[in-house]
Amino acid sequence: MKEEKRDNKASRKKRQYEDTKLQTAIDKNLELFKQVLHYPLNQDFIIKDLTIEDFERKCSLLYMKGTIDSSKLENNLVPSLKKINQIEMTEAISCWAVVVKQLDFMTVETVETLYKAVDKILFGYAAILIDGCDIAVTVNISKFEHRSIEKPSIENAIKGPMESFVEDVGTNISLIRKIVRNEQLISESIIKGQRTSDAIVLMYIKDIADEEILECVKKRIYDISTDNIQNLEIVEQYIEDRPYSLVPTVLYTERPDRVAAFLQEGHIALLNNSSGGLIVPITFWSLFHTAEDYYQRWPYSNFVRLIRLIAFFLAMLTPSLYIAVTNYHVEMIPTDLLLAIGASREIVPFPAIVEVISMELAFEILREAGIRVPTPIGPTIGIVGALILGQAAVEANIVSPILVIVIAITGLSSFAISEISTNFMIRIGRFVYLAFASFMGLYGIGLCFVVGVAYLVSIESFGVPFFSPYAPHYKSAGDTFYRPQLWTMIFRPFNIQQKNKVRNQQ
Amino acid sequence: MLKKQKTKVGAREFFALYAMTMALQFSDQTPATIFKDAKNAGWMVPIIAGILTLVSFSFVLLVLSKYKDKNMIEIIYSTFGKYIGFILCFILFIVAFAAIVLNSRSYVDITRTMFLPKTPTNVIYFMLIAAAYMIGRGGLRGISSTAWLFFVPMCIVIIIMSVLSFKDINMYYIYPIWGPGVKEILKVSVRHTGVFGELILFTIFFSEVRSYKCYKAASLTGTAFAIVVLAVFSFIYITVFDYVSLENMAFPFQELTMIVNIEQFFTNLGSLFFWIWIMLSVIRCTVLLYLATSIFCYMLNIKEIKPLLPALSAIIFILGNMPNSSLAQNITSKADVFYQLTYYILLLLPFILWILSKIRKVAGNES
Repeated sequence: MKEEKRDNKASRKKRQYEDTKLQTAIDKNLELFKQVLHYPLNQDFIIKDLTIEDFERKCSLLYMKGTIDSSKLENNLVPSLKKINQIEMTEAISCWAVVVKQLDFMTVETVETLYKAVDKILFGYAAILIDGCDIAVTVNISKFEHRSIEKPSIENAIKGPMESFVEDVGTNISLIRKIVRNEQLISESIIKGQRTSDAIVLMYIKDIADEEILECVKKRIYDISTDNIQNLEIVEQYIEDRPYSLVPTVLYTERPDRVAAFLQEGHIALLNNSSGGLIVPITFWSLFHTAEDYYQRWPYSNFVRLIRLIAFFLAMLTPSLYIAVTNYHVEMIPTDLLLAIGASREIVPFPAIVEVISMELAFEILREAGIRVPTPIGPTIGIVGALILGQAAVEANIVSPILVIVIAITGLSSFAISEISTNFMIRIGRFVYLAFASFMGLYGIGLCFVVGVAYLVSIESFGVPFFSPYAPHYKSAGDTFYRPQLWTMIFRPFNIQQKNKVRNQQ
Repeated sequence: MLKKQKTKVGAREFFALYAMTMALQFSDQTPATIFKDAKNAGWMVPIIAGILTLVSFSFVLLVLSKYKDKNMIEIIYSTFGKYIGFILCFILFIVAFAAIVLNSRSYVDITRTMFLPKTPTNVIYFMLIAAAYMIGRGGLRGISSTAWLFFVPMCIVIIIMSVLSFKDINMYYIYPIWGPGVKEILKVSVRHTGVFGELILFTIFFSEVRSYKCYKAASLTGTAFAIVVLAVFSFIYITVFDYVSLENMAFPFQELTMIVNIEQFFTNLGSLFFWIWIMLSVIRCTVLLYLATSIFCYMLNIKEIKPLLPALSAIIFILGNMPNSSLAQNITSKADVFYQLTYYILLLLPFILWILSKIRKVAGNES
């Protein structure tokens, strides 16, 4: 309650200053800045009085510590301000014009309102106030600390670029522009909330991206109700098509090369000060493919895709198939194997479904713990997990040895799907299949599978059908389950855009 | 441009719809009803019946090419007028509705007798209809895309089954080649044109297909595919089982999956094929459900089809659960009535439609 009140007050205050113009008297201006930026309570806000030789008027430099590059301040800004001499000053129409002229080698902007000046200061600009001028000169000397560019941690690749996005939008854009050198590549920033710091950068190639989809994306970003967006991971949840569904409709990637590839096909990328970018619209194939599919030679990458497809099904269906076959369709198992399973299950007191659910649960806990555990204790998780899940549970007759294999195959297969959202979709979907399998055997799994596929078909990401261009069929390079040779992939997928259908070929 | 294409169904998806509904009959009780009449020449019946239906379908194509944006029901209404049109549409609806009730019941019977003997029939039936309803909610576009996704698995099953049954084939079973006699085969073929009834019934989706060209290509290739599959499997059934035992066999496909094997190790592939078969059959059920609902809606000029799906699903569930619905129990009486009703309409309706539209055109030109 209290918090809310304070928030309301703050926002009212902000609005109060929105139209306040800067005054001519420097003291009054300084007073205003001090009030808004809570000087001297806020010790990061610095007001520096400048003494410039031959310069009779009072002059002040305002900036926020932590947002600026102090070497730029000391080596470039202050020395050049000191060089201003009186003759120039008196000849000019107004003093600020001289300052602007003197600093023309840097990014200089003039502002007239207090609100904008404060905004600039928060963004890493230094504001120069001169007595007698109702205009502030702002100079960009911003520098925010962030990680250096590192290897991608989720989307690993053996072959191919090893750069990933960092928490700085400028760096991220530069990483993409390095790959896509195209005059049509637009980066458009959409300002959410009242501060420019909340900007989301939309990147697309103008003569490829579909306008309808672009409008749809923009509208959804403008419709976000909150005015403070921390990062893209949160934006993703605001703009996706089906927030309650297991199925993701936005792709989160940390690889600039992947974003570049998607841009070339007509997708739209969203960037921000986040360690990843968002791709919209997406299809099932965007989730299924990896960046490396295109870097490896044709036979290798198709082999890997086949393996991934098998892993996809194994991760989703293995436990439920085990339950269905052992409970309902025993005749499917070869007799010798059946006897072996029967013998190993004889000493286990629980029904198979209880075994499977308890082991699945243990494995999921192990996975979650593996992510959250502090690095120094990390290796213990492996030992404890292997002991509990494998040896000890079997020796204590709680689970049968064959089940350990089932769970291991399931877990291993799920690691082969690198996309995080898809991974979750499969991991949770597995339990749905398990329920149907224990209820109706293969009949239940079959029905559930078809309904699941029909549901996926019905999903649209920003108006693009989820299984297109395969079903419904659109003309495309045919890059779905199978990866064609690169030189045959001349068509851009028609389900995403139809403006620029053929890739530029020499 | 994207939007316009989005609402219509493309040629490939529509082809899959045809393939899924017509060709999949090889795996239910249709071959059993054919062999009863045609004996060991049963493999010719799909070919002759298919060609007969194609001939009558060509008249439908002639009529359709004149009406670009209208579906079959609208064409019937505008050709026959309000009252006769309604009666005809109602008969079409009865045909489609009977097809879904009988077929869904037949799938439930197969599932229960062959694979889940301890599960109550109504539970199996409920699951089937519920699944069909949920797939049907995606609309024609969703159903056809799903069918297209499952088309390749269907082909794989067909090919694997044919290859695996190779070693059990005994070629002598098909002799004498003309079976009960040429005349009898022709008669039986005419009576079984209902097998390809979807060819005529699907014309009510005409306005939802991208173009006339798409429609024509999809329907013709779809039928050709179905004829080949049905003929090949009828041939396999005869040569593997012989027609004498086939006459007493309600589910030849399931029996076939039971006897094929891969070497010594995988001797019971029945359940595996059942798993894939039920996935395909659910799609077929959905198509028939959606077809019946669409005819019903167009007949009464209702714009929205989806809200009526649950109601029709519930009626089908109740009707199909009645003891007499089982096709296996009274394969003679019921199926014969059903097929007789259909083949008159399917063979004659297109021809009459074509003539009437010609007369109308002439009359229109004179006035």
